[in-house]
Amino acid sequence: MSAATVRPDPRRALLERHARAESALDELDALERRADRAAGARLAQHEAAHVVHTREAIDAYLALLPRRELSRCPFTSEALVSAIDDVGLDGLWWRAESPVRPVEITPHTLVAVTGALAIASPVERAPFLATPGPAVPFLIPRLLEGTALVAVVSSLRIGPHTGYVIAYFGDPPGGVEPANDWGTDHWERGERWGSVEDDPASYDVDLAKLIGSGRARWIAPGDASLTLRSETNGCPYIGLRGTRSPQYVQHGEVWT
Amino acid sequence: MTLIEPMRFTFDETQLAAALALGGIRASDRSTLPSAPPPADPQKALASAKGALADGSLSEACAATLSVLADPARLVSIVANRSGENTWDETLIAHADGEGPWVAYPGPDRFDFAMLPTVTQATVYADELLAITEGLSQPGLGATDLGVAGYSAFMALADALHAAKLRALLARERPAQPAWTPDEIEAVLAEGLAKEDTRWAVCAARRVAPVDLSSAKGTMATGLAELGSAGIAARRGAAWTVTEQGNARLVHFGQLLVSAAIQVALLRGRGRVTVAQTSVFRTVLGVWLATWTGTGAGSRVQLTEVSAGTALEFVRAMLDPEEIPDAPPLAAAAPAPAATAAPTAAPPGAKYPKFCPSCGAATTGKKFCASCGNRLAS
Repeated sequence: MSAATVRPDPRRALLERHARAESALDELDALERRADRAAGARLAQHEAAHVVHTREAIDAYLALLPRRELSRCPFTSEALVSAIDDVGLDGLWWRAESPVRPVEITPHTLVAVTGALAIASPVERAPFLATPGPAVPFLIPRLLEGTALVAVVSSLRIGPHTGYVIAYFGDPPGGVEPANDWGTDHWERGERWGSVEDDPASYDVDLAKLIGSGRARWIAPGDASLTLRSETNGCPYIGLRGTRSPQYVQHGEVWT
Repeated sequence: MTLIEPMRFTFDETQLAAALALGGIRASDRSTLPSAPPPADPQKALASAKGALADGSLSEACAATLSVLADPARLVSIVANRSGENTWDETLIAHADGEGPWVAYPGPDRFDFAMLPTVTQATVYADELLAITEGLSQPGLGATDLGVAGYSAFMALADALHAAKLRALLARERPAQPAWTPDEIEAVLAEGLAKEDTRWAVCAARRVAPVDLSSAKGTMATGLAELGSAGIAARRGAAWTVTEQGNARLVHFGQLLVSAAIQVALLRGRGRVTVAQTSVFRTVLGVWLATWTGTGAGSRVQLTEVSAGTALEFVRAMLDPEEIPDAPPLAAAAPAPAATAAPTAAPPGAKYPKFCPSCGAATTGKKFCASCGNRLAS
């Protein structure tokens, strides 16, 4: 019987490579700040090699990201398909500052994609901060009040955790400022981008009310057909327990 | 110019013994630390040793430094000379298994230790010795694989060419297309082997080669034939002249700035295995690596002009091969020349450009350019 083979994990290897390069860049940046002009120019050559490693790691990471069907537009029935790192929060997709995500072509009716994460053990150890949202699905009232938008709640596994996708669709979609994309401090739609600070205290977690009023729909966990449901009975996203405050994750620690 | 100012610990032999005793650090079989008995009062002995003590105990940084030297697993030796200077400076850089700093020091019997916490800082320190980033560099024309005869002929031909150019300059004449017989190249080689002037290629190459280049005496006909096969020299009757491709290489070795030898040894028990030997030449025009394989007269060398970035990665890999998983294996061929440095387009779907469209600086995957602040996400 042959010995068990440990398969190399390409994602982990390139994330480590990226982290090493970033760490080296931070070190060299610190040296450069203390250096005179001539020494600074030489240290910049050291940096250049690590910048290349960083870029290479990012390109490889982008190529590894799986594309998942996350939601469906209730107006056009078009699926929202997006690259997402569903292996764990240690992926650069989840880096709150400068997340690594490809440019997406999304349904034209998509207004915003936020999310929540019920965090389970083990929590990944990443050098960067991740902000995966509250532990339970929530709705942002300003996106629903006085608009014709409809929210769709769905879920997927993110490593050991349970992720909740909350997508807002409208037809027409205009007239309202989107919310920040899930896990980031800004939103991007094609050429447009911006940053919004929604008050977490305003988040509405009464999904039963919003589903009952037709302002929210849901997709059952694991439903590959992405069937939109509008009944409150049997909705697994109603009454979930967990923090409503935004969660912060870094170096394997979670806080709110 | 100083690139890095590491924490230093300087001891005399008594102080070193005191520090080892105070830190409870025992030297293993592979350590070169002396085993002098500690003084009766170690704290008193160390009072004048800057940075050694913290609250009466051995400081954490000093303890980490001495722990590496007490049980080193990897020892990188760098022997370097500035062209024309008579002195050769040796620096040893030690690293233990696993985590821990790199420690640079001038030799086994000189206790002036520089603590370098990371391989990045160790690489910067090595760059100070090798002058890799001190001037121009570019990826060259590709590696040239040579034996000892070919390598020696290459250096002798560089000296012969350099001398011919200098003579033409002094005579206020345009340089002719000179040609040399194997005997004439033998004479140039012999002169270089006999002299100590490291402004000349044979002298410099002799000092940084892990093999005795004098073994190439009498083999210049073979060496020139090797250079002919490599496209560096071309036969003209009974003599040899330099090709255009050869001139592009040889001209570097008439403008040497720093010559150095790097040797990497792995320490196992009392044994020591040399796993890599490379000669480094920093010239006015670029950086050259001569990576040696084999021993004695059967040695081969890959002579390659590399960009500063490639040379730095090579040095980094010598200091810590685990650091860059796909680094070239030690004791193997020299690294391939780096890919062109021209900006390339971002791959389809990539969120950030590789280079800032505003200022042209390479990006780091962040939302804004680190150089000019231009927003990169689109």
